[in-house]
Amino acid sequence: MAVKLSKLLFVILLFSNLSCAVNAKDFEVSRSEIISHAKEKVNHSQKELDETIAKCRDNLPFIEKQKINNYDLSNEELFTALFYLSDKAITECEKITWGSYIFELSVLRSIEKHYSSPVTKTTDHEKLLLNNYWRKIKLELEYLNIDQPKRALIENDDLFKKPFDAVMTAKKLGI
Amino acid sequence: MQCVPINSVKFDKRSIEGIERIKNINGFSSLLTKVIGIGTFANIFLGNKVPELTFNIYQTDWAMIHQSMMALPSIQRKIIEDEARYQILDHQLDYKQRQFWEGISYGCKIK
Repeated sequence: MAVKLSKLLFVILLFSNLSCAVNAKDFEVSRSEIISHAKEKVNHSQKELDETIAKCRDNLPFIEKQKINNYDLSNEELFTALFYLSDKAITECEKITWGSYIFELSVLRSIEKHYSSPVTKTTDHEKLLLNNYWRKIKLELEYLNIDQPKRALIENDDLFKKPFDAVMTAKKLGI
Repeated sequence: MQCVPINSVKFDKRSIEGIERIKNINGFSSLLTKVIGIGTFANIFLGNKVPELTFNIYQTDWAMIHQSMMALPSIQRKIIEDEARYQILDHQLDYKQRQFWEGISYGCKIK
């Protein structure tokens, strides 16, 4: 009986060791696979982001002078409003794809950290998003300094709800 | 299509910071060295005396800087355009610096 039990224990131990060995092998394979899969996801979302950025920023129309109503804004206020509303429309246009890109990149970095692999450095896309973010906030605060009723008039104008070229619009307005 | 020459532009602190940020874009300086080598834009983006100097920018300079920019990956061009856009916002009333940044952003598209 004792011999049978020890044989059974031996078999159990043997299988459990084999199982550990298989898991260890799986772990090694999985690590590289997981990192490479996460990188693929980043590349995929980056490709989508590039397409979105091109769609939201390239060849933007400017707004013609005759289409712009009198919003009772000074030239300086109108200049600020044009840049702010253009920024806002572009941000809205790109937001979802930025979200998934930053998400996939954060996931990749957390996996790289977890496996003590070299962590992906700041990408050019992140630089595009974040280099000037402080200026976006500054611009927003400058815009919010304009009287609310005046802001409401220009904000409710459909002309400014889609991405447009603020620089060229300002130039055409002579401001 | 006409690029606008600018006479005697001197850069303020905000422009200089913007120029520095552009200089730090990966590969931009080496590309500029290769494509331009010498000239006004080489002095602006590769030199270290920008705060003290005034610059004259000619049509040929614009043509060369845009040739360099077209060789950059699209995302890096976007970083430069974004910087230029905020510089235009910062220099609404400074005609020459605004013209400079409009040129960086638009090149020969602005008439």
